[in-house]
Amino acid sequence: MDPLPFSSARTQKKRRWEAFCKARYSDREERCGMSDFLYKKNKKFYLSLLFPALLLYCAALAGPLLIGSLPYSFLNWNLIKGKKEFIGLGNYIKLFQDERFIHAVGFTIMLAVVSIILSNIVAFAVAFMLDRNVRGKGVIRSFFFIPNIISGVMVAFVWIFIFTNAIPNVGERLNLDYLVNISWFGNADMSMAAVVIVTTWQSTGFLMMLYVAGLQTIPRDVIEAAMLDGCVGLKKIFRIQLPLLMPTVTINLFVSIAGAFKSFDIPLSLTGGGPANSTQTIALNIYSDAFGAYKTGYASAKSMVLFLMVAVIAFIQLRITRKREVQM
Amino acid sequence: MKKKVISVLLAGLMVLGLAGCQGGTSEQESKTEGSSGDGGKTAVKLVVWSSGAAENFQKGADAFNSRQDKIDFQIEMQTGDYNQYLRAKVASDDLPDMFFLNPYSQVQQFAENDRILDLSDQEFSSKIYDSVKDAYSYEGKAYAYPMCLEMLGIYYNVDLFEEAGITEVPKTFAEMEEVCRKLQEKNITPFAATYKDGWTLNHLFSCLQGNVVGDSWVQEMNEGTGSFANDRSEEVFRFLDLMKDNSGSNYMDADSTAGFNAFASGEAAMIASGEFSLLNAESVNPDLNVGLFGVPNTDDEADAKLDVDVGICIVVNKKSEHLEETLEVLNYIADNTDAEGWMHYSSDAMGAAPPAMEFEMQLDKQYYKDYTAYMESGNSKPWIYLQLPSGIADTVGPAVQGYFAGSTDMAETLEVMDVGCQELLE
Repeated sequence: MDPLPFSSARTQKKRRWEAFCKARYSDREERCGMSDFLYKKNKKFYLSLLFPALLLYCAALAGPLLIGSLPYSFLNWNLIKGKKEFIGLGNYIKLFQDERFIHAVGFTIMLAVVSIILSNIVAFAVAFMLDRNVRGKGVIRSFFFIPNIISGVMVAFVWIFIFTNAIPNVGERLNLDYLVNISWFGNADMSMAAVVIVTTWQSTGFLMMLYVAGLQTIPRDVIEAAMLDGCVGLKKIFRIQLPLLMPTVTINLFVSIAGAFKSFDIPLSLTGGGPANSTQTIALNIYSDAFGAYKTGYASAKSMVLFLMVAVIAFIQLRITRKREVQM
Repeated sequence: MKKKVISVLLAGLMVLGLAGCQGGTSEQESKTEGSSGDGGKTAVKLVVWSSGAAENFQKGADAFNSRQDKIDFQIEMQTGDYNQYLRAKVASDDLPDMFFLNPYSQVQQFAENDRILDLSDQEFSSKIYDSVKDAYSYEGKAYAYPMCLEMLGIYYNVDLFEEAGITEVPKTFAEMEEVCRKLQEKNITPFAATYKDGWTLNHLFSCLQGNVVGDSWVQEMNEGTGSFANDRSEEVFRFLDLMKDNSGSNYMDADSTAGFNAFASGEAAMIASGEFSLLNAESVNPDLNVGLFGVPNTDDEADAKLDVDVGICIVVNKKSEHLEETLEVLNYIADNTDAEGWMHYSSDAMGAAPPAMEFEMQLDKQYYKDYTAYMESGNSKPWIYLQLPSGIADTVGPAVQGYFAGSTDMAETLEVMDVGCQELLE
């Protein structure tokens, strides 16, 4: 937008401000407010606060990805033999025909979908129940959160004990033959179920904490007004609380999706990739190619594909949930 | 203005804290110093990779240092990635006086690049068992000292065998079936299951496959013309079937630790594994009466050999500044007449890997006597999977696991292994 010649500094400033507002809120019906004014004024300061974190991010994540993984993905590089040769898109073509990789993708998607849905439902239920004045609310919340603090390897060891020792023992005492004889790691299906259970168990605590925080930001008067109007129980949850919780749901889904696709430590320690690589997730598949078969170029190509997959999914999901955010 | 100053100071503090952290965590070496290390002594350094046995090596080094004043023998354990460390040292041409290497290809690679000393004229050369010569030689010359041997076979509980009325160890497949039958009659679980961990199955398959392939098989596999399947594969898979039927219930749920513990506590009579499976026994049941025999999967008695191969090779850096002192330390390590020396500290315990030559151990266990008998009669064969392309363990282990879980049959399992091997050759 061209400022007219000879217009006063005041009109120029006004025009710039209008342009800024239009750009910022072009897709919504809202107007510029005080917060936007402060933002524009202190923009440089805010950006400088971001700078150290951005630097770290580039050095630790973006740098190795673009300078390391990306060029390596175009090589046929055997780490042990030291053979490095440029093969262009050869690795990418190969991985789309790699049976084990496709199986790993399928399993990871299944694991992600099931564990995200389950852990979000359980986390919300627990957060909801702990929202009222229960005795020892804080202590109970910490108990639910503890699985998240324990490292994935320890979680897996604990669950191996539960699956192979505790459950058969319980089955013996209760005379339930099925529980005594069940083989959790004996075939692909049971192993997959085991991985899903343990992953859900570990991630629920963290999501629950976020839901608790989110539930507390809902203003009391909105809830009271709804109850006065007769909106109770499930209706209240689905019509009032969940829509207002959408920012929390956004964050939760975002965290869950990224985490579930990178799932590595639990499958590795629980099943080692399962009987005959049946519970091998994408990350585990990449690891076994890079450090088991020493095909680092091929593994780098797979890492790039994983990166793109997660980026696309996260981007789509962010757009969808952004639109449904309701700001009070 | 004040706000700006404070925020700049805080940012600076954060960056400083980060720099401090970086310095701390990028240190990958943890020095375990021997004696004081100075005072005019020549320092000879041996770099080892991280393992539970590092303590024992240190005790061996301390014993050496306490006996003489001229040399300070230091052990340095690399806690990070050992291969990365080696590559860095090779790049900067700064290799230590002595360091660990894996047998076969790694020793050959370093010998080819003229980085390690030819040790053929050293005293130990004549004492090493003949059957493991290939593991540390290149072009016919000995380029490394094989510090310890690892043995795969079937370890058995002597007391449980007596209880079941078994008087002789099985040497053919038919005798093996008979042994399992007798154990089952007494309600003793024959095999301790470890099949949740794929690597144990890789070891087992290596022992079995070694008996049914010809001399040129390894070369064919490395060239890409061979196959895991041949007309004797039936002898491999019938043994696997025998193990499936005789490993108790839910055998896929037990990992290596569970299996080792089950064997050590006498819940199972046999375990098909290496000497490391007995390390757990030290804490569970040190009085375990354990014997050893080679895997008998064929009908020929002569095939039931023990699978013995070099575990760790020690090499000497050709450009070491103190070659004479380094060789003196090496001779101390290789001295099998020294009852209180290096071999005693690193090998004289239940489950420890024995040295590659005759050595009179203070440990009095049946399995060590059995092992010595096999070695002295030359009745051993190498670990065949070590000579196949690197990374084959990750292919064979899961493939056999699929067979144990019942998801693939014999033909499919062998096919998976072949495809995996081809991919490694690309």
